[in-house]
Amino acid sequence: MRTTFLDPELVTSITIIIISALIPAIQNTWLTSAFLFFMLLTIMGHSWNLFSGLTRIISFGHGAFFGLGAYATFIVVRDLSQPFPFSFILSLIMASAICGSAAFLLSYPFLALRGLSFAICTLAFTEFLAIVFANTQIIERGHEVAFIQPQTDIIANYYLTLLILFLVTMVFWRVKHSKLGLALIAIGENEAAAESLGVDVFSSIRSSYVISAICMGLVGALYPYILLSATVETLFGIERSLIPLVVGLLGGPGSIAGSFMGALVFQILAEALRTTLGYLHLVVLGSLVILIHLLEPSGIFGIVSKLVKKTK
Amino acid sequence: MALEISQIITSLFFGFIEGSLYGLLGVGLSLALGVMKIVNLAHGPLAVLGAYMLFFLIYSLGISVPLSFLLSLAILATIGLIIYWGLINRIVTNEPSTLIVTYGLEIIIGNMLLSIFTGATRTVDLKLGSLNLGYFSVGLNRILALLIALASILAIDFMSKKTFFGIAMRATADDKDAAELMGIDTTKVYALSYSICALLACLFGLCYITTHSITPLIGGLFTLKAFVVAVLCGGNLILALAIGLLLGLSEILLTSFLIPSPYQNSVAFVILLVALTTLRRKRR
Repeated sequence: MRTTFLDPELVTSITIIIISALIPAIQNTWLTSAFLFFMLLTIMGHSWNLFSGLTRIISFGHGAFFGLGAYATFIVVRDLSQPFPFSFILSLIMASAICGSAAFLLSYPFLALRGLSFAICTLAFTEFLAIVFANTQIIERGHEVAFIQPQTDIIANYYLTLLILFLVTMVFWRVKHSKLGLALIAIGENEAAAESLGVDVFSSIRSSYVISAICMGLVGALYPYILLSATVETLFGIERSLIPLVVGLLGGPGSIAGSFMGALVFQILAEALRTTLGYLHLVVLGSLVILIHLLEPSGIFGIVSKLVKKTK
Repeated sequence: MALEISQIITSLFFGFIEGSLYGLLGVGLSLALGVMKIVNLAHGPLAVLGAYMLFFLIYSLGISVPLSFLLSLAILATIGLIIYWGLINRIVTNEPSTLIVTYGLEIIIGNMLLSIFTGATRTVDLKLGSLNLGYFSVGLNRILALLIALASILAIDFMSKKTFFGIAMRATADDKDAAELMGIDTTKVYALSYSICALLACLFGLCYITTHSITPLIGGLFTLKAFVVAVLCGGNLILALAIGLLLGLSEILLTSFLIPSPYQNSVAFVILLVALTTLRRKRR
């Protein structure tokens, strides 16, 4: 299959990445950190879209990989005291290795399930990990996870996140336009039909699950460098599993540019509502998920592409 | 040695009460799963909503306890109907959609309660006194909760087997199209079933808040425990009670004698993961 670099999805994505690269030049700390979180949200959206968006097997438990990735960073920073760039690279490698192998092992019991069983299993697994991490001595002080402050500034974090966003976007684009991506989309449309046409269903969804878990683990690994401290609740909380789902659904399941759009809308709403509404901002997000899903299942990307078609 | 025996008997007894509550919780979810083939992820949050409704009616509005019980049940049944007609009815045949929409509901209910009632633990004290049973004494509120749970499970089982609505419900669950050809208004059956689910969730919530303390975001945990019961019982409501008892007993016994108490909730997750990955393999 021939792929062109003029794919509108890729052009949109690269444009947004280039705009993001120019943001620190404005030298507005608030704007820079807002864009930093926007990029993290986008990677989470990519991660969810790569698996659930393409195959339509809904995961409620991507938060588990986020938490594992963050713990990888914590262990690297605490036990292997390396100077900044090495510790950073090491924690990314650790997080990828842990999340990738966890997803690979989990795929055997979990990916035999579909629909509600799979969704509930992922949810239960995340909760189980939260209980285990909250009560074991992997970290010293129970619920409080205090991260040793790495010697970095926000600009370095910003460009490293941008680099990872770029890499994840390219991986998503390559996967989507490869034989594997076609197989995944076919499975999403009709699994039995895909299987009858010779698609190796299990190994395809397993590959996508592993890649997706690694992406989520990378966000988790970046997170401590940016926030510098965390608790078990913030690492494994239900929000961590909710956010990728919301970003993916808002933007449009399975679409690359959709993750950017979903993350942008999410970030604007979260910034605007968090201070004024407190916990009610999650109520608004929950309502938004329901509304978007009922009214326009293809998400913001779907709406935008319809508008573009109309104007042509 | 005498101490050991009394400890075991106490654990068994409290495990039995806890288990009957889980049975009640599971029966509601099992009904939605059996009749409508949807996983109502909002089941636990609806229970929490019912519990907070009771708390609100008693402590903020000063309504008497029995009336508050009835009012919360009525309000929750109505909310169930509204949720069905407003949201679920449009997507009832589409499994991923019901998952997403009820997940959205879970987030909405939990965080709404969190912003109204804050994250502090709440409980409703019925001031019923306690009963001395020789080895130990037990609060009458727990006995009441046990009786409510057992009575509601038996009542729902009776309803589904002997009444016209129950038969219509089971017919719809078996074959929706055939039931429609026989003149059953399946949409109405679905709506009423969802309302009954909300009612059962509320009953559990009422029993729970009068015997335990509750926080707004505990709903997801309830849904998962209900799911353990619903998956293992496979639609048989009396079996649901048995599974609930098994879950309650194993939680209490394990945390009393084997594992540290923070791990209590992980028992349900382990059972769930093992059950789903072994029993439901290749099932959709």
